[in-house]
Amino acid sequence: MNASITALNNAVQDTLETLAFTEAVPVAAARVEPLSAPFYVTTLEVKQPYAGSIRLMIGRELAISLVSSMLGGSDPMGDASVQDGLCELVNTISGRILAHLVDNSSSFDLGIPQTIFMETARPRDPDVLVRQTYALNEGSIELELAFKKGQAA
Amino acid sequence: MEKTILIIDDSRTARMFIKQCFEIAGFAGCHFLEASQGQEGLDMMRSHPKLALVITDINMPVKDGISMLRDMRADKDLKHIPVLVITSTQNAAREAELVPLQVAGILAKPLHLPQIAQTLTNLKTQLGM
Repeated sequence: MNASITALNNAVQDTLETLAFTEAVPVAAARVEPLSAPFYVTTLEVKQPYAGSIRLMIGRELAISLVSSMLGGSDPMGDASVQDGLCELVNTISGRILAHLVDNSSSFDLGIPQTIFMETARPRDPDVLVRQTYALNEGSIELELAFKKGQAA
Repeated sequence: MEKTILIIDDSRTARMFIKQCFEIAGFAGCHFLEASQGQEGLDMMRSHPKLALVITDINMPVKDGISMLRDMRADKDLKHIPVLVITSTQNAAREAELVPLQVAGILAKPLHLPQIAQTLTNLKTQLGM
C-alpha cells in the first residue's frame, strides 16, 4: 500500500509540475472541500500485469484552468481540448505509477484514456485500493487506483 | 534545408507539448507534421518521402507504435527513417522490446528538457543539424 501511495504522489506531483507548472500537495480529503458535480472523470484501464484502473476526478473550472496552463494559456478552451488534456495527464501519471510498481523486467500495458463529463455524483468504486486528494492553487483533484482483489501491488 | 519531422500521438495536447519542447531544444527551424495514430502516421510517411525524423507514442488506438515500427522496418521506403519513441509506458522491458526495431532513442513522459538534452543533442548530430 505504501509503495502505491508513494508512486501515486510522485507521479502526480512530477506530471503536474512538468506539464501544467502546477504544484500538487497530497492532503487528507477531510481538509478540502469535497469535489462536487459537475466534474470531469478521466479513466485509464490497466491491462497488464494486473487488471484495474486509474481515475482522475476534477471540477470543470479547475480542469479548464489546468489544461489551459498545459497548452500555454492562449486559446479559449473547448470541451474537446479539455478532455484531451485530461487524458494526456492521466496517461502520463499512469505510466509513471506503473513504472514504479511493476518490476523493471516486466512490461505493463495500459488502455486508452477516456474522459466523461458528469453532471451528478457517481457511486464509489468498491475496488478502489488508494484514493488520494491533492490541493492545487485553484482547487483540488482526486486520484484513485482500483485493482481487482488479489492483484494489488 | 528545412527538416520535416512527423509527430505521432493520439493526444493533441501531447503533440503540441512535444513540438514546443523540440522547438525550445533547437529544432525551431523544422517543419512539423502530425498524425494521431500509427496507420495515419504510415500514410503520412508514404506521402512525405523526405521525412528527417518520426517521433511516436506507443499506446495509441487503431495501430499502436510497436506495430507501426514493425511495418516501417519491413518497408524498403520507410525503414531508414530514424524514430524517437516518447511514451508513458517506459521501463527496461519496453526498451528491450524496442531494441530490434532500431529506435534512435526512448524518452519517458513527461518530458523534462534538462534530462532529454543529451538525447536531442545526439539526434541533431544524427540529422546533420
